[in-house]
Amino acid sequence: MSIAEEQAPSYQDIATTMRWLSELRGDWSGYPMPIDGLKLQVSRGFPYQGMNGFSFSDEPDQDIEESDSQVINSWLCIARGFRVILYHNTDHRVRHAVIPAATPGERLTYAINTLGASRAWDVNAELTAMMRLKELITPVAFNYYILTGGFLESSKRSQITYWFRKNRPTVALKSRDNGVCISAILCLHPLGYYQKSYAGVMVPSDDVIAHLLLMRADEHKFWSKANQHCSWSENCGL
Amino acid sequence: MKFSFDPSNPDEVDRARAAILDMLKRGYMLFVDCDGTLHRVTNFDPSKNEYVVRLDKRSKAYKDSKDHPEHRIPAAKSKVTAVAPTAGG
Repeated sequence: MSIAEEQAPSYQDIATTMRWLSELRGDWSGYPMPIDGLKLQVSRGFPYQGMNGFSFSDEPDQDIEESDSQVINSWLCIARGFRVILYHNTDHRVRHAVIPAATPGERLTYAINTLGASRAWDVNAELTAMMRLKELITPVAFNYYILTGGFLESSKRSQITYWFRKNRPTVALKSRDNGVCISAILCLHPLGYYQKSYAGVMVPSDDVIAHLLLMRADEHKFWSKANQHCSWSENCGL
Repeated sequence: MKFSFDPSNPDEVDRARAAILDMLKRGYMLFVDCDGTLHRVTNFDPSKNEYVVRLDKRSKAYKDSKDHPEHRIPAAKSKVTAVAPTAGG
């Protein structure tokens, strides 16, 4: 270990300082923890919008690298699961490219990034959130959550069954005559999340609690607040 | 973070009142449990220390009321869970 690494503060040190700072400023929820290599996306209500896109990284931002090609338009072909991209090069001739919308490699990136984001979370905070969740759901549902990372709950209002999952978006399922179909994949994080991952800035069970409470209290609001993903997209977590 | 107050202590009541109003102003969602049903708080009446909630349009209480008045829940007897402003993932 180099001297610089020895002197660098740990994530725990940074978390403690940020907690102190948030209490000093009278903020209720604390601050998102920046992680090297993962960009933050904070909610619109978060007072420090400058944290959007921030990460601890010395590498140049690949998104703004100069390129000879310029994308004119792109869209998803839902029926075939492909993304169609129209672009032109320096010769200004319009070309097109068709690429798979969600490759296994992209899904793997999301899963690995989620693993990386876990450095920001405090184990004790997760245990506290799990105990709170235990108070909210049935013992059977909590057993499912401990053993499989998810549980089901049906809404009496909409007849939709929700599959709440740890570190993955919630799946809305609708029963039909010939079985069950996916209505939507609902993704929502209190405070914010790490881009290209399934991870929120709060511990995973806090995210699950937010989904559950919003669904129970105001299902319409839950659907309007959450991002709705297709079942074959890389960020749906299926 | 857990936040509780003693309803008989005026200083604590003032502090709790300010906290609730500040949270709502900052876009926090507050969920209050009333008789086993969860409601999202839409407003807070500091003069009466009551949460204002919106009833589900399909609920019996909503259908029974003619003019659909605001449903109010006393803060002193309620357990509320707050969720920070959200971002879609």
